[in-house]
Amino acid sequence: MALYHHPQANFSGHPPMPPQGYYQFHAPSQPPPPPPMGFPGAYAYPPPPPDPSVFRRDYAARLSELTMNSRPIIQSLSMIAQDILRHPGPVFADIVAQCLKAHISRVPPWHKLPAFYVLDAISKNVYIPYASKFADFVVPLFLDAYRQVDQQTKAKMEEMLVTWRTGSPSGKEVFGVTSQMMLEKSIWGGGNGLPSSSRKVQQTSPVTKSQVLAELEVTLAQKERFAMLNPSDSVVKNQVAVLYQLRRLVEQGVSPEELAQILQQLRSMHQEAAPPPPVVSPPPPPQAQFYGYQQPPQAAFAPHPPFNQPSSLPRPPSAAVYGQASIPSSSSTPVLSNAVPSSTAGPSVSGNISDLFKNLVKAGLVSATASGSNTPVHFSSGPHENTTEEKVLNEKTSERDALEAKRRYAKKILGPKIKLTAGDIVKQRPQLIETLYSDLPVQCKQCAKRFPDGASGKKALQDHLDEHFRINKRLKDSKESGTGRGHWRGWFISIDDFINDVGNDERDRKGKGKATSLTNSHVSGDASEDSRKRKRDGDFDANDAEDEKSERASYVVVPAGEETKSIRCPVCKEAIRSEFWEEEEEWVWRGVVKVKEKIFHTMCHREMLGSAAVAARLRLEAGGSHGSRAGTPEALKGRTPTPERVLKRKAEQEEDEKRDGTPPSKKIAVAS
Amino acid sequence: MDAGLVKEWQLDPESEYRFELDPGESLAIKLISGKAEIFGAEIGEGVTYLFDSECRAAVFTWHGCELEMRKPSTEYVSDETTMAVYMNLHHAFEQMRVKALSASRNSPTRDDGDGVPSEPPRVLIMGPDNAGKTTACKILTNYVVRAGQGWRPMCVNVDPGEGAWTVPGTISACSVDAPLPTSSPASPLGSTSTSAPTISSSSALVPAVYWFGHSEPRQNILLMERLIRNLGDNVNSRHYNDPIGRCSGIIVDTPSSFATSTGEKKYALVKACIEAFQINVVLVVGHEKLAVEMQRTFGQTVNVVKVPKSGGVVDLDLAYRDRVHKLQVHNYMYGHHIAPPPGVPSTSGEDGEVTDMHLAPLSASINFDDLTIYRIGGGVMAPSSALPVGAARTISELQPVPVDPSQKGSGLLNAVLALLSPPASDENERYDEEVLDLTVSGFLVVNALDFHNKKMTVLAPGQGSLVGRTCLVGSFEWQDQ
Repeated sequence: MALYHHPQANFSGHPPMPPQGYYQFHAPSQPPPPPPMGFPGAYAYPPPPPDPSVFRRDYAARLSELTMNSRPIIQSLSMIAQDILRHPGPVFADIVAQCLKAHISRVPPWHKLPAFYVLDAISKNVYIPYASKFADFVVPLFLDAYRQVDQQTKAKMEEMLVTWRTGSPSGKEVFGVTSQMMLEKSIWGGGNGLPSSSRKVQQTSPVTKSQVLAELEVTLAQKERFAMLNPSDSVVKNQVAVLYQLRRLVEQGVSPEELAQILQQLRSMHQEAAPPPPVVSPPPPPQAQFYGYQQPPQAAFAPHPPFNQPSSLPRPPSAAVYGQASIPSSSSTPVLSNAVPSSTAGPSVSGNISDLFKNLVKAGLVSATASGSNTPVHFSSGPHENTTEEKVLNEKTSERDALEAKRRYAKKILGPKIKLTAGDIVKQRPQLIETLYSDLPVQCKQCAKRFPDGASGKKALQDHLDEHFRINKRLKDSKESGTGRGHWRGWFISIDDFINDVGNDERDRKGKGKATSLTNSHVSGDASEDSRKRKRDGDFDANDAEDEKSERASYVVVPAGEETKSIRCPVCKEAIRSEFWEEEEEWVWRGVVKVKEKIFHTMCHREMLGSAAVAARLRLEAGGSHGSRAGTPEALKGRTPTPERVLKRKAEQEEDEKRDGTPPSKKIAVAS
Repeated sequence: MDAGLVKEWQLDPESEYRFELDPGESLAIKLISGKAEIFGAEIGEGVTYLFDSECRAAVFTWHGCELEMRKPSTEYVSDETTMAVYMNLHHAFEQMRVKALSASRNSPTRDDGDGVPSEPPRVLIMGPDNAGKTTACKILTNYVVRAGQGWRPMCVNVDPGEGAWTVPGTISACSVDAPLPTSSPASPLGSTSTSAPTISSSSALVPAVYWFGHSEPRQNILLMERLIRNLGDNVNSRHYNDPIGRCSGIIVDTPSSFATSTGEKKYALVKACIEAFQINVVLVVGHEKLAVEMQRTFGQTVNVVKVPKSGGVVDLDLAYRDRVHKLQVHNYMYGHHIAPPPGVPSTSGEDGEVTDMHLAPLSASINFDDLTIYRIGGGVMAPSSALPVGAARTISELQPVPVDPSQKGSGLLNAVLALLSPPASDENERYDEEVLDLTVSGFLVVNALDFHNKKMTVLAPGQGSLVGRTCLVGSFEWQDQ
């Protein structure tokens, strides 16, 4: 069992576990024993195996306490998972896997990352049998979480994903090539999810910026550690500086080919940078800033029973990932010793770096002098400070770049002399054409819209593509929900809106475009009066389906084996049917949320939460008037809907309002 | 897949592929390699573009390209184009924009671009019938928005015979910030916004629209002049709030009658346009004499430039224009869907393109007295009792005459009605001719009149109460087929 011990880890530097978080294994009712971390013997369990159901309950309870990125909790969860393997039978590993899976899919997005860190730690440190068990579900779980989390967390998850490439004890993909490739493909697109065993960038597959950035971050952190351990090693220092510059370049935007090139070189650096297992037992470093490239040295300390001595406590190789969010600057603390002998890694990498650097210089991406000026700044500061620094720098740079680009454009435009005369405008000036073509080299493949080169152009393209995605999704959703007939020509805006609603960027304009039917609201006057009239007038049939499309945007992946199971929304009691979503190749329940293991209609759940909505329902049930909400009488018209239905529709409108960013008061009248 | 229908064309640099479609035909064009544009709007490689409804257009390439198409009718390639002229014009205008922008930002004027005025280009495009005025307007607009400078030029259509982004019978202005596509005469300059999501703002234009009601300006020159000045005031007010828009300039497309009018006040409408939009450049397409006359009449204040006519323009007969008018009303109500030619997969309406937009208008039965309907200047149908006694002819041209649906021969059946935006809420600000100065909210079509129950059935583009609203009727009719 205890094959993988990680002697260089030491947890004594960490605060003791909070007692309430302590994993009470055999005697839940007893007062909590002293914190186990770093205390010999704390995990010396008595031999009889625990009751699986008790273990499940306890482990789940323990997981549920993981509401923040707490390394002690993550580590103890990992250790428990390892320790329980002393008991025979696959049942406990299964329980751990099930608990983790359930936990991750259940918790809100902001709790998902710490839980993934548990999964990550267990897979890498214990590996057998957990990695293969996790591999069964890690792909959908990861992708699902990835979709829900914010940008910052996405980046962290990407970093973690990169470490999974080489996370197994043999330096292979932790969850297998297939899983790794599927994940990378889904996250970064294209076919560039390359396993570590075939580190070759396919020229055909596009490499995305975020992917390169994620790998860059990882390499950078690794190099920084080397540099700190070896302050005299100027080669590593240089590498760090180059990497920083590279990162800024990539952030500003480079061509796909260059991205691919950078990625290729980075990967070859990873491989060579991955250190050989240390032959001597190094003294425990105060903190473990490892990114998971270093293979846990195996077998060397196998004789040690687990958890008996501090030196044999498992060290999660990816601990640095956990630590980063909470103690970002810790890597600047001097590290006395490290498992990685930099003397072996340094030189071998330098060739790559200088190659890379040379190539970049050749490509005109990097100025040879820039690296020197950057070095001291970046080197002396921790990674976190760097990030903010870089950010500010980037913002300033992009602002300056934008101004500079404007100036350049003006200069270029004003260059040729063109007279507005019949004779002069028929002259051939081929040099002018490119202001509309190659001067704007970044192009959207879907609609041929062009953007300038550089960071701002890349960002604009990204935003533009996001917009494509959103709109296609909305169109698709509206088609699928049978609202093909649901669109109509908007009323023209009032002249006041025409004059004042100038819109200073794309987004403003979009909002305004949407608002054409909105104008109709102050056109048609009082909303409720409006709907009364409409009832009399008859034929203006509101399109119900239109409102439903947004509701369908949320979904829950059906757990394996439950595809045919019919469930009901606990609020409205309507059956929720699963459907196969081709895009994700998953069975999903659409328009639902999962809360405390129960599936609700998104709208029903939201409505249930709001006490105002409850009050509204009570009023409705009492046969009260519809108040000033225009949507309600509309839904009442022509049929006798259940109160739930009315409220659901209302909630949908609210979601529409949220999405459109229009003030509710305006939008309400529109919906009428 | 019938390979026989597929045809490939290799275009040399600066040549264009021109096509004309017969009624009921559609065409699919795909750019295989190279770069190409349709009336200034770049087309993407590998993307299928659809055309129908007797569309006449051209795919031009600056760099050379390879095109693949299915089911073309009349087609040929020409290397004599006027695109270089438009590129030069674009640059001359772009110089003015750049100067205007730096002037508006108080940045020091550089030495470059001597002699370039620092006023943004405000361009009036004139010319006889079938000279390519609207195309010129489109190309210039598309080049501006493609420049990557965030320009949003104001496109103005004062040709009531041209539906532009809405229905014929209107004059309108619209800020454009995305290239205007070409796919069908139903939406020659893009399409106004719908409830459908769309990526391109040229499918979601938000214009200011006035109702003229006829296809020829001479049918009511006074009204036309008044509407032009109203539109100009509104555009200027908007530009006061929008420096970028102001610096992007104005491009005004005019009817051919501007070029051919006669009589003592023959250039009254041109003058109105020049004053209303502070025009500083007049482009005269394919009409030498007109250019000279413009130079003589307005040369003091504006720069008159003669532009050669493209060999690609097609003479359009009246019947065609009539079909296009009908198509445009249909497009307004129902959207436009182009059935791809055989063998071309349906585009499935990606991004809500104008080539695949199904809209659902609503039919409503309303009481006769729910709507107040006027006809401006009275028409043949107007009851003479409604005319003021002894009113001078010039007054009556601008006189809103009430139209009573309950009277037989009101001319309302199948009429296109312009639903006006509500008048000022303050009673004190009301005035007699206010309906002349109200913009249009949308259009209705009277489908049926029920004299017995005093009800009429109207087709409306979307939801909204019509009760108590005011409509104008013109001389446009449309029947739902």
